[in-house]
Amino acid sequence: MAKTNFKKKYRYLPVIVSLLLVLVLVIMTAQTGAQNKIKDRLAASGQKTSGRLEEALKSRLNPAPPVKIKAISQPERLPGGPKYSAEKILVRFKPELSAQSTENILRAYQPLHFKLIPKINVYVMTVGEGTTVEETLAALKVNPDVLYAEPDYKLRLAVQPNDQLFRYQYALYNPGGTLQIPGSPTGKNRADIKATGAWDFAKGDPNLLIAVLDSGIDYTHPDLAGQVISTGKDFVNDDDDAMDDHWHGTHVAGIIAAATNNTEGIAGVAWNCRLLPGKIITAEGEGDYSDLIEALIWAADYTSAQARVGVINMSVGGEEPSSSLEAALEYAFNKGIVLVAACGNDGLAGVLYPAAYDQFCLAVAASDYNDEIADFSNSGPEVDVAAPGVWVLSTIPVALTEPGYLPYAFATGTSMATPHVAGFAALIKASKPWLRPGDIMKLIKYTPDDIETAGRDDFAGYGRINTERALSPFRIVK
Amino acid sequence: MKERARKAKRLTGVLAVVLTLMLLPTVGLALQAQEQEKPVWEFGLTGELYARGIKWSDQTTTLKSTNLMFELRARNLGHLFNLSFFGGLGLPRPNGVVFDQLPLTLEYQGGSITGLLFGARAEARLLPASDFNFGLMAEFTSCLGFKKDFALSGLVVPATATATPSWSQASGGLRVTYDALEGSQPFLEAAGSYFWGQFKMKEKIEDLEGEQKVELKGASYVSITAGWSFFLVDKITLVPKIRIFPGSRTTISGLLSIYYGF
Repeated sequence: MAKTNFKKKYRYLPVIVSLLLVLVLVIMTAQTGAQNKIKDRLAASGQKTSGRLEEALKSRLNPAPPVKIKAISQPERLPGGPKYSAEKILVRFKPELSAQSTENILRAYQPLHFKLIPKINVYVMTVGEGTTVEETLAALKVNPDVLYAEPDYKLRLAVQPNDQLFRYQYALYNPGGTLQIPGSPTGKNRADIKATGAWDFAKGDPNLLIAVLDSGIDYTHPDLAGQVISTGKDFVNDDDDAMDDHWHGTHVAGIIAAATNNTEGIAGVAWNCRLLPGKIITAEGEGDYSDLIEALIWAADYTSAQARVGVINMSVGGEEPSSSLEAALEYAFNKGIVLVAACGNDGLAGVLYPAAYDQFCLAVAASDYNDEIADFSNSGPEVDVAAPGVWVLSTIPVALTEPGYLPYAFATGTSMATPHVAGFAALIKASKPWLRPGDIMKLIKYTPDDIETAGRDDFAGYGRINTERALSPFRIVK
Repeated sequence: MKERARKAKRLTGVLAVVLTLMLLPTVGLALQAQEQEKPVWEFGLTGELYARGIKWSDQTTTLKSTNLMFELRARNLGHLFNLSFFGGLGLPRPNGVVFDQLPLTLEYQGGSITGLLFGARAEARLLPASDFNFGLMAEFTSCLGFKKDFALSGLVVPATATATPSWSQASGGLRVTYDALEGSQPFLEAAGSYFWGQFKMKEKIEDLEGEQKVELKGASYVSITAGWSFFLVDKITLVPKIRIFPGSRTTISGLLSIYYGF
């Protein structure tokens, strides 16, 4: 009887308890989800020829002579306003208030949670759902008990390098507006290779060498001395001293891997990689195919301790095909090396060799600060990508620098575009060493910003390279 | 990767052996009891909001899934033994997993991927003590996700990614029921719980292809479940449950089951 009464009296109890449990469960699941979301955010390029290169590099690959720059002042701050967390606020209360009082006040703003940073008595408060940081900040600032309340500003990684001349390097970061390059032209915002975004994910590897087959490198240059692994090889004079007696190779080398974030000079694309100089161009800016061929084989076989050549930059070219040259390219390619070469500066249809050996070489065209293809840049079906090649600032040999000038100069040409791509290839190879050269070439070709006509064209290839797109995680969304 | 997979297999094997040994006496008792009393067969439907912290490499994220399962349960075998088999659909959302071995690194934020969910559960009531009954439980759940294609927009050539997640979870531990209430029975379970899984991603950018399998494991090895069985009318039982996976990334899952006896 008592049992029957009990059953009757409490017959709805199971249903009520069940509904309550479901309600509690849903609330707790939602809260845990929100907390974990916050944790997630925190926690995140047929004959044996030894003919000359068709014209002197100075005129062919660099239509304009280098422009020198004088000693300059300290760098200006780059654009970009402060950004802060959309969830957190830093609050400090007046010292006379007890901990209990301050926490009661905080709870009145219905935060998701808060924590105290001891010693300085600053609370980190996560704003509640249905309100914003701005609203909560405004409310806190009028509270007489609050000493100060401020947004939780975002930190940046040191990927915006502090090099003194970085502001002249629109190719790496183009702020738009009037550019600090010869002629002070107006540039298009972010018409650059997005290097600062890529450096969040890759800066290269000291054991990854980029061989610069050019006029040599001034390995005593303050921005290159620590970056060059050895004095290299001089194929012109047949010795082991690839000191640059022109200027071209040193300029190319600086674009690829100048010492970066060292408060002086310029920034290089693959700043943690090292350089290997191979001198194949004379002091007059001329060279032979045979030297390039020998240098390719030498670079492909070069090792020093753990260091190996991963990328070869060839800001040189000739009009004639050569089976020997093709065989040397194939040799290096099969050794896992990414080969990058300049299209040429005649402004005509027809890509120079070795760039025209499409199977083994990335052919690079030159774009400008407005993402337009330079009128001197050669075109053709072999063009793979474009990179900035107009008024590019880089290193020049100290011995060739006039008194009162810095050992840096602006230069123009597909020669200057090519090292941007070589540096890019090095960043990819350093972060994903298992990728084959062909895969790296494809990744570079398929991830640029499309400029010129839509889709691949004979002037810009697939477009102007975008290092950030290829190196940062690509988000798969619904 | 292979080492981790071997470890996972070894741990799973050990867990399976331990659970089998733990349940053997129970099976014996249950069989004895079966001779005395016929089992009650029930058909059930369970909805679950599943959440569990998962790890891969040195990263952690939360695997969330909405599951709907049909269940066949033999309950109260001689007041000792419950055995159930379930199967249905799961909608796991393995958001946050990064595939950094692909040519183009991908971060999955694509939401739910439909999968086939199935498993089995056994409960044994072994030691009555006052109004309580102490026993053991073991549960195995597996989810085989179907392939889902995503277009990688923003590239200058056509590109797609194909995602296929799969995971399994084995739990075993103690179960306590409170039997003194009329028409309902609260229960608490404390179990060791091992999670392992794999998230496969295929990438195709024009003629550039890559594939990566990310091995997943649980961020915790313990689960605590609290629930209440309500015997509403003669043949209908309602069971809400909350399951907590405590640890550095504590998560809470919720289940609601309804059973019909036949």
